[in-house]
Amino acid sequence: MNDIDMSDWGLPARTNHPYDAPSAIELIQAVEDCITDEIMPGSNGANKWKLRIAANALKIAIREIQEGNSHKDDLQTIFNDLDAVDATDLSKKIQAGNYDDKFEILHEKLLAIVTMKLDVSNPGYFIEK
Amino acid sequence: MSNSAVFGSNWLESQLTKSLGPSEVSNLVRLSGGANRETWSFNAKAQESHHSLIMQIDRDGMDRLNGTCERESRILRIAKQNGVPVPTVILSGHSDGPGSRSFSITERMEGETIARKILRDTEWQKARENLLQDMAKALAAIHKIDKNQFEEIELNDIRDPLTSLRSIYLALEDPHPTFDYAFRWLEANQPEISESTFVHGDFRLGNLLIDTSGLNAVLDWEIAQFGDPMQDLGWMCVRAWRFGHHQPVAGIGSYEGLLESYALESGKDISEATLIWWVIFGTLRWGIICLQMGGDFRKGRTNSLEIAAIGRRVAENEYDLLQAIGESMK
Repeated sequence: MNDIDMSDWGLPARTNHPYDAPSAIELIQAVEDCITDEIMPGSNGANKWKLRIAANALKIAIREIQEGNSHKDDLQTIFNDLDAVDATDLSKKIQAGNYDDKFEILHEKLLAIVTMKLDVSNPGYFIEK
Repeated sequence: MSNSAVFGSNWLESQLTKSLGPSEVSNLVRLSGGANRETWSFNAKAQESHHSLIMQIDRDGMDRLNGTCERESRILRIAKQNGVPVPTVILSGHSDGPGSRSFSITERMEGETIARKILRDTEWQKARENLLQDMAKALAAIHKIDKNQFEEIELNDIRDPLTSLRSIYLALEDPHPTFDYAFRWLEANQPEISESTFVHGDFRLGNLLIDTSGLNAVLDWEIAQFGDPMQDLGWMCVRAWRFGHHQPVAGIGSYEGLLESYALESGKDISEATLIWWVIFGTLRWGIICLQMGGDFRKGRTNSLEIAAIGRRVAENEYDLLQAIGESMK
């Protein structure tokens, strides 16, 4: 035992106490890698198509866990800027015509919300300007 | 009891007797089906002829009046008589006994429906060159059919498309402020409804059978209805139906080109602004359908991963709506 070099045995700090590692994100990433690198190359047709959807769904899940908290704060700031409580309230106020004289501001704020959603669901979808 | 046991070769042979005479069925293969029906492919050898055929049958428990295979076959017959490229209907009817389901048997036509292949592969190059004109011609033929020919079929008559779409959105009780914004914009900019004609309702790549020279058949008439014919033109220009390609009309053509071809075939001059209104309407419609389909998963009506993933495509349509409305405000 004494001759073994243990200097590299230290583990990274866990981020998800009280649970053990790998964390939720790391587990999902491992499944996604397994699907993409190991299972998909040997599959065809409908199964390959389904695996692609599955891997993509896992990528969305990872991005949602990573971005979720900061997006929630940003969303609340946007609601405050528009004098709305939440999405339901904002919807009602748009329907009632409350923003008809400030469509440009509303447009900009809605684009900020949709940008957060697309950053998670499909960041490749934005049109290059 | 598997479906193939009930609606297998023997059953098909007994049905075909009514139209082709005594027949021998072979190569019965199940193809991918939609949510509401099963699709089978098979060959039939009658006394002096061979037939390549497609059988569609409503899914079990699908007792809705609209959208059944039998109803669609009646629409196909009318479309065929009026020069629209569609498969010939051989036979349609209802299965016997309890849980009766409607079915149709049509000729199997050659071609490809998978949009990504049609838009990408070199073998479809010629088809792509002709497709815009072919689509405009087919649409003009569809919109010209005398509405009285559909007297026997109860078709929805959409007089006020915005109100119809909004009632679906509100029923889902899942507010999306960008959708409300789009409704507001569509109301403020609505062109006058030009007229009410027969419309296909889901005319787009994916529902069109393409052969190497162009459009071979228009498929999927489940939601055919009466409405503004421009809705068919706008729908096929929605970004989802461009399948990743840049050209606004089905990924292959320009708005100007479509309007020119359609004017030539139909005699109707439509402004680009009117077409764009209908593209924005179509984008909102597809966004709300995505919300509804994601809802089918959330409510446990399906466990399909593909349907679940469609729920996350709502945001793509919100983005497209904001892009298009932003363009129009410049």
